[in-house]
Amino acid sequence: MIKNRNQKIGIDSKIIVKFKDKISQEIVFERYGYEVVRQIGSKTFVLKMPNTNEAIEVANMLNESGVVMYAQPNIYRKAKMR
Amino acid sequence: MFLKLIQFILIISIISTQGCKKKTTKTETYNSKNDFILGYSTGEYINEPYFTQQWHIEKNDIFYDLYDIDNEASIHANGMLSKYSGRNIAIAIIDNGADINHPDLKNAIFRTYNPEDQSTNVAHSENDEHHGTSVAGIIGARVNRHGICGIAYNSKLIIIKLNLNGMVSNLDIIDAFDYANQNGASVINNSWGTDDVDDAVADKIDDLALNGRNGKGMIIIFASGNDDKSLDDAGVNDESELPNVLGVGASQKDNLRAYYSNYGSKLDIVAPGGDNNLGIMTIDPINNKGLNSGNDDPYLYANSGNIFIGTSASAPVLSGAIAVILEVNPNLTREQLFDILKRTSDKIGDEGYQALGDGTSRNDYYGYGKINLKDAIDLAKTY
Repeated sequence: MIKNRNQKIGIDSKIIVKFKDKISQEIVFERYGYEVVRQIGSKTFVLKMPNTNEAIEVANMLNESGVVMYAQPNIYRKAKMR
Repeated sequence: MFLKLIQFILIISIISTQGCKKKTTKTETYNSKNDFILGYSTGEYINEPYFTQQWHIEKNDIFYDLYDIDNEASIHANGMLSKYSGRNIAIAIIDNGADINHPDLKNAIFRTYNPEDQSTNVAHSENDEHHGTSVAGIIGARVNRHGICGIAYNSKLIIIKLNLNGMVSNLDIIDAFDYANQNGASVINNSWGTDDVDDAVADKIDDLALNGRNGKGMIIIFASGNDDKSLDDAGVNDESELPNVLGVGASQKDNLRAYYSNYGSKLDIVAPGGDNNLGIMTIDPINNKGLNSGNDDPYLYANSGNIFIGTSASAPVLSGAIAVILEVNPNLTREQLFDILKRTSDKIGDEGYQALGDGTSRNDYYGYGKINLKDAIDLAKTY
């Protein structure tokens, strides 16, 4: 569990990535050979990492690379019925 | 004297809901081709045993007088449900599951899905859970001489279960929205929220709102929450605030903002959600489960016992009403539908509404006002 603001959140070993364009996507996949679990949007993919630590590291690395719209671990959080 | 006696009997019949006998002679049937065969003409919705308690739909003199309900507190269906009932409009309900065997619900179910295990099992996880069932009843309870009438009582319900009791993953939420879209939903009801929506979820919601429903745009509704707080507060980034979502707050029987309803610059609209004295009449799971576990009564009354209130109730009131509007004019885009709601909602409350350049007006406590179904239908016919 990780404390995020006032919420407890969790993650697993998957990350969700939306690339800025197809070229960026192809370069990243070719260079790093990530395991693609599935595609959930035209430029959005679910990738599987070996463990949660690597999921955080890769998500950070992709965000800093500037080739993605966003990259984030698959976050678990509490949703509240209203 | 005779008239007084009749009135007395009527009042007793309303108050003594627990003792009402519900005569059921025929129910709807549901064949393998997913066609919905109606057991009754749509005009009989007012004969549902507890319809009088459904003050949120339209005014009735006796119940309104008894509970001192403001004459304008309903959504003003005003008889429109005798003609329109959300027929064949698919509505996804993303919640904590539902009791799909409830007599008011079983013939409304079109699809079920549980993203957590990719199964069709959407039963509530715990015996005392009821939330998704109660939400579903407000939208789609069938006219069958059982209990109540959903606002869109001929709509098709897609029940999608999330683990709202524990932690829910972004991918399960995304899967839920994708399932709704892939199975033909026009409206997605969300009586829940996180206060902290992640990029991936916001992106999926945005994509469907813009491109879903065969390009016309999915209608996605989120309850704004019950904390009597501003959603503009630092650190709050709620699903109900997303730009292409309808964020709905609650009104109560005095036709004012419910005391608990969240507000802010992104609030779009309000709908009846009840208060501690008068809830939104709906259903509870059968077989001694749900909120009424222990007394085996599958209904939550507006006026007694366990009641259902909150923006969780307001959201399905709005979802049901929108399904009815889409039946009237299924070609409406999401933007057109939003425009109709903005122009026809009742400008209730004491706060002033700021005029916007496009002829609409809003404030942070009521958004564009309270849904007025009759006026929205009238405009949708000619839009």
